[in-house]
Amino acid sequence: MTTTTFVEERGQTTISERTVERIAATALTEVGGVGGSARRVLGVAVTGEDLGRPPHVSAQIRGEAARLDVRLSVTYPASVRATTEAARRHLVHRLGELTGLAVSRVDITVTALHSDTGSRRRVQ
Amino acid sequence: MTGGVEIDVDRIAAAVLARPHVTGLHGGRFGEIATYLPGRRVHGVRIRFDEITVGVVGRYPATVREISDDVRTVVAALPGVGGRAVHVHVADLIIHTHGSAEGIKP
Repeated sequence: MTTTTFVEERGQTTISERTVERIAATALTEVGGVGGSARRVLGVAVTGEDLGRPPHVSAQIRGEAARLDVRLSVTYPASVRATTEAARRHLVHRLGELTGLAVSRVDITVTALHSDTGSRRRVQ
Repeated sequence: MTGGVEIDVDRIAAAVLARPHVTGLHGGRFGEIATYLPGRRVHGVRIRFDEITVGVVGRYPATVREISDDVRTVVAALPGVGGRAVHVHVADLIIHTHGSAEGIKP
């Protein structure tokens, strides 16, 4: 599923959902207080909730708008609400800038709160 | 199937790959962007009677517009392309952060 972003006299341009997901995941690393999210297989976390990994994004494109599903972690004591709102604003801004797509909806699941002490708990 | 045998598909592929915003060619989600030549297949370029489609992996942080304009301009200038529409599909991006690359290696 791809979208036609603009049609010129010389041809049309389409973008894959994969491209939108990469831009979104990268943009989220630019937001303070946002960390990565564990990779899940069949609902079971198979990696630790890891601040250093990029957040997980899945995108659906309909027409000229993208809808995003995001899984990320928040660094304690940042406000979950303020962090997720900042993430939404930044996603809308960066996707508009890099792809020309509007963002119709951003659903965010906060998967963990990290204490910012530098110590990492690992799942044994 | 291809039309316009006077167009050199390999030359299009090489010209697109040489662009700074492009890190690779991409056959699209189903491998549908391809040209079949005797005994081989060129991945990422499809030529039809009135249009050429190119699938690319871009290089972040180039914008989709920058990538597509650049590819379209270079392809349109090649011999035999004439007035065909040039469609550009941005299939993936390579993201370089802290010296590491994420994404599909072309």
